Amino acid sequence: MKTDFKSILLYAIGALFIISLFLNIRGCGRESYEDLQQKYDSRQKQLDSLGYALGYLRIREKELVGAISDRDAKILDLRLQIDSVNRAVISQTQRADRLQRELDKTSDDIKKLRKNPIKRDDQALIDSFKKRFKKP
Amino acid sequence: MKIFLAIIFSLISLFSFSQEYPKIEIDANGQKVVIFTLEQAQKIDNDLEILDLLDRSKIQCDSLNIARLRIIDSQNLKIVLLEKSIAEIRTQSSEKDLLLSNKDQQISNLEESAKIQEEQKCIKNKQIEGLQDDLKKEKNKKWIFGGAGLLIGVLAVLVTL
Repeated sequence: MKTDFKSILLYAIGALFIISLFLNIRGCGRESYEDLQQKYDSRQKQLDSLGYALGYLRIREKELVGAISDRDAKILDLRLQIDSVNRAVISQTQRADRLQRELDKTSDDIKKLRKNPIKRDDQALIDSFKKRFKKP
Repeated sequence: MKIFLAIIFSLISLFSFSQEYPKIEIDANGQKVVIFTLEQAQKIDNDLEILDLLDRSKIQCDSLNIARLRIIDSQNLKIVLLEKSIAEIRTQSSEKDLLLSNKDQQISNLEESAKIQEEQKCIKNKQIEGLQDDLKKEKNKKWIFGGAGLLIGVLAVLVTL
């Protein structure tokens, strides 16, 4: 009976040894917590540097948006000035056209007078001279 | 007598026709006057009329020149403004290009960040899984070794008895 207990005890210890071995071996292949933490920290560093870069890019974006907005205002101002100049050009062109028409009419009148001179008679002629020589 | 008178009148008229105009004479008041024929006076009148028109034409030409110069000035100003506008638009275009590339960089940066965060999440999951495994293992060990120890203890007592 004693032998039986001894062998049972030995078996039990052996079984415990095997179980312990199994439990300790299981999961040995996986990466350690520290290695994983190291990897995590390395990724965190990358993430931080990307964060700084993103911060710089956002500041630059704000500057660019501001510059674009300022330039929009400048372009709008220039467009308004161009519109005003365009209106002035139209008005000046109309005036020049009117003056050109008047000049053409005067030139026509001169041609007509050269072709068909005025022939005032008697009093009309005298009146015409009087009118011309009237002292201002 | 009639013949004599006729000859005198003919001579006077001949003399008068042969006179050239304009001529200067002295009138009854002793004032010097210039005498023109009607035709000459009409020509002068017409020329004076033309001169008036030429004067007017000169003024109109001057006004037209000024108007044209003003148009040229305005067009020059417009060219300057358009050139400025083009320069501003070009600069703005390059700024917009920079903004676009900035946005692209931000997007790629954010994508990269998301990728890294995903990796970090995986690492954390692995760590948690590992810790849970360890915990489970420790629990099992506790039960197994506790139970086995008790059993061995009992068996050992029984063996010694």
